[in-house]
Amino acid sequence: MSTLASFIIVKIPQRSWNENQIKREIENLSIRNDPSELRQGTKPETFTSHGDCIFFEFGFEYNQEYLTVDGPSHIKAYRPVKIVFIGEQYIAIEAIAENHLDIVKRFLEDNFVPDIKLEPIAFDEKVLRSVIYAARDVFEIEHAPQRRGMETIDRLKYTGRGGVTHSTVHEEYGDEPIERIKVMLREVPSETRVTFNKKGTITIVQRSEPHEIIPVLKAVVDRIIIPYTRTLQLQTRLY
Amino acid sequence: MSIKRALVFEKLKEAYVRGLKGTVESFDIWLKTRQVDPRRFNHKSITKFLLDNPNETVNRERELASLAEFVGFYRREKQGLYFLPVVGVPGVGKSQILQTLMGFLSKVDKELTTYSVDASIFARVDETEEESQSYLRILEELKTKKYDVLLIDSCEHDKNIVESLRGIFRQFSRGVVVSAWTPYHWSLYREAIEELTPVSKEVLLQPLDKESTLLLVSRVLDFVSIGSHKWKETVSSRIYDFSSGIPSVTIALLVRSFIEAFQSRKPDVDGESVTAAAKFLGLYGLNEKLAKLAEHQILVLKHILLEPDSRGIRPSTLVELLGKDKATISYHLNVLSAEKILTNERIGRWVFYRVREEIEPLVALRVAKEDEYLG
Repeated sequence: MSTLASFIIVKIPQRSWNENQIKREIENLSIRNDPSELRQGTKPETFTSHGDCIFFEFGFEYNQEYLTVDGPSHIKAYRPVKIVFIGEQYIAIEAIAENHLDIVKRFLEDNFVPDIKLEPIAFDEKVLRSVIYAARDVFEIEHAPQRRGMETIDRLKYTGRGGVTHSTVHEEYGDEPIERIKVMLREVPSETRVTFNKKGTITIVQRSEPHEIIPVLKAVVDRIIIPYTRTLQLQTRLY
Repeated sequence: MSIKRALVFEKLKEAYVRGLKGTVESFDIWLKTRQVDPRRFNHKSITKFLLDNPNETVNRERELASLAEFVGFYRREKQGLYFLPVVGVPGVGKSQILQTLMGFLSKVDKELTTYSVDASIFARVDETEEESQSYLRILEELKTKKYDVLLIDSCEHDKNIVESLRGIFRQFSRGVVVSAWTPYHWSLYREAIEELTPVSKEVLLQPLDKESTLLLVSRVLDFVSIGSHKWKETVSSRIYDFSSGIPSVTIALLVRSFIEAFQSRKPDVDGESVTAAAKFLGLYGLNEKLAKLAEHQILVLKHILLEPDSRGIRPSTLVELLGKDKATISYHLNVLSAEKILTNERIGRWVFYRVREEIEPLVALRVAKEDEYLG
C-alpha cells in the first residue's frame, strides 16, 4: 500500500453534517448495491469519524487495457479514493487523474452537495509564502524563476534535511515565483512532512491511514486555508 | 430621533416589507425575467462560445484571408517554411483568429494536418508525465507526426520564446507557422526570430470598428438570450466608446453593465448602467488619462507589460532597465498608481507593480501606438 496520500480541497456552502445521517447515506450508496457493469459507490466499512471530520472511501470500476501475447485485452480494474469531510465547509478528495477525479466530483455533487460545482482550492504565492513562514521546518522549495538571466531555467529546486530557507541559495532566489514547497507543519499531532503545490495539491508524506491524515488535513484547513484564502468565492452553482 | 436616522429606518422598513412579500430578487432571477440565461452570462462562458463557434464571431476576413493564402500556397508544393506572426494587443482576438483558421482548415482540406499549442505551457513541468517537460513533449509530437500547419498562441507568455522557436524549427522545418504576439513582444523579439527564419508576413490585428463592435454585442446577446431580449443600439454605442473596440473589454463591459443595472434596480440596461460599469472597471476617462502620460511613463508601462513575471515588476528592475535613479522610478510608479493604471502587491521582500488587469488591453494599445510614433 502506498504511503503517500495526495489530496485536493474543495469549499462548499456551510451545512451542518449529521454524522449518523451521513453514515446511513454512505451505507445506502455502497458500491455493492450498484447493479451496473462498471460499479461505483462507497465502501461503508471504511467510514470513520474524528472530531468534526468524517472519512470514507469511494471507489469505481473501469476498463483497463493491458497487453497480452495475442494483443491488447481489457480487465476490470478498481480505484479506491479517500474522501474526508472537514468541518462544515470543506471536503478533501484524494488527488487522482483528471478524468477519474471527474467521476468522484460528480458522485459528491449528486449525493452530498447538489447544485454545486466542486472546484479545488489553489494556493497562490502569498499562501505558499505564509506556509513557509509559519512552518516548523522547510525541506524543499521549487521555483519557476522569472528574473532576467534565468530565461533558460524553467524550474529551480533546492532540497535539504531542513532549514533550506537559511541558505544562500534561498537568499538569492527565494523571491522567485514558487511552484511547490515541502514543510513540516507546527502542532500537527505527529511530525508530518507535507508538500503543497500552487495548483492546490497537498501531499502527506508517509502517512496514509485515516487517523494519520485526518488531523493533518484538518490543520491545513484551519490554519492555512481559512485564514489565507478568505477571499475565495464559493463554487459555481449548477442549474 | 434625527431626521437622517428616521429616513434610514424608513428605508429599512420598506426593504423588510419587500422581503415579507417575497419580492427579494437575485441577479439570476433578474436576468431570467429579462430573457437572459444566467448560466451563459459570464465572461468565461461567452469567450468559450466565441472560441468554439468561429462562424459566430465578427468579421476578420481580411486578416484570415492573408493567413489562408499562405497555407494554400504551401499546400500546392508542400515545401518551405512560412512564419506568420499575428500581432495585436491582449484581448483583441488573436486566439480567435487562430481558432477560426484551424476550424476553416479542417473543413476545407481534410488532408491538411494542424497542430495547435499555447506557448504559456512551454515552461510547464509535470512530474506525473513520463516526459515531465511540456515543451519536450511538444517537440516529440512535432518530430513523430509531420504537421502542415502549426499554430502557436500566447508567445508573450514564454520568457524564452526565441530558444523555444529555435527548437521547434528544428523539428518543424517545413510548413506554415502562425503565431500570436503582442506588439511590444513582437518588436522586442522580431530581429532574433528573423535570424532563425524569415518572416513571411506580419498580420496586424487592429481593434474592431464601431459597426463590428455592435455586431459582436448582438452576437453575444443572441448567445445569452433565452427569448428575445430587447436591446437598444445606443447602449452598444456607449459600450464601444469605452471599450475602444477591444472584444475582451466589450464583453467585460457588457456583463458588468447588467450587474450595474440590477444593483441600481433599473428595469433594464441603459447608458447609465454602461457608464457605471466603465467606472467600476476603471475605463471611465481612461483614454484621456493615457493620452496625457509623459514619454517616460509610457516607457515604464512598456517594461511592465514586457515583464515575464506574472506578479509584476520590482522597482529595482525598472531602475536597472531604464538607468534612472530610484526616486525617479518611484515618482513614476506613484503617479501611475494614483491614476489607478497600476496596482501593487507585496510578496515576500518585494513590492510588485503591474497594470490593472481590467484595463490592460487599453494600456497596451496606448503603448503600441507610442511605439509606432517612436518608430
